[in-house]
Amino acid sequence: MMRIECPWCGGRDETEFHYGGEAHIARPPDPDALSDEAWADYLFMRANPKGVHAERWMHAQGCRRWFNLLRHTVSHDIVAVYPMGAPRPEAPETAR
Amino acid sequence: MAEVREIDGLSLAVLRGGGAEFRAAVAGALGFGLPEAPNTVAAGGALWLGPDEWLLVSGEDQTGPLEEALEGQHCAVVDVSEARAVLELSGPGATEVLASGCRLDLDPLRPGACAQTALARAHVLLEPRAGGVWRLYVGRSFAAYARAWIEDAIALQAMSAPP
Ligand SMILES: [Zn+2]
Repeated sequence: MMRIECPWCGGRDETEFHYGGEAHIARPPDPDALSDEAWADYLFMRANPKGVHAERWMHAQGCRRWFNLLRHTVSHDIVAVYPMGAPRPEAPETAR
Repeated sequence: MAEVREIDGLSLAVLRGGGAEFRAAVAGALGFGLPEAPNTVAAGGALWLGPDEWLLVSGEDQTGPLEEALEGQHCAVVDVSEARAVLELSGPGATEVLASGCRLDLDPLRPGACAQTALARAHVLLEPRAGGVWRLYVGRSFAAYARAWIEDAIALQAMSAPP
């Protein structure tokens, strides 16, 4: 169980949130122009790092707002929470 | 022993929008301003649901005057009076009953605050009111479940209370 800091509501239990997958993956503006390989890359290929991962979460049983966070996939430490649309922040040295 | 009852006859509306013009028009129509801080309540009857979303609670329908005041603005006014049920939990041990099915720390919540969270896995909007009363806003389809769960929790508390 993780405690997740909602930017609006503060710290809440993980069960109140919905996971939205890896952050910063932009939908291609013209999918018809892509090769099958490029389309499959957009749909299915993810970074899956052992380390700091940028991901989307939504406070489903709270304010129902989406936001991004950086989570270490080994320790589950959440090292940054930031708004949708904002650039990915630098993870602190200690979290890498 | 705590008790739970359903409050009938309240008008509920969800209001969405933002910006100075929106806020001014709403304050003009309601006679009070919308709460800006997350998870707070304006005394006139507006509960914060999100950065651009509020629940308005009133004895009378406010959607007409709001729609008039907000004409032409990009916003939403939706009557949800039938979509939500309003329960009130009160009496000795009410907070403990709530806490037995709610993972949120209820101790810091005082009148003037509100919180959206889960009660026995159902989405609920909690509003602590004067006199140790908890008001709960739940989806209509969850009302029977939420009420049955609370009655069960009250009975369980009564059984496990020291003689
Ligand atoms: Zn939230």
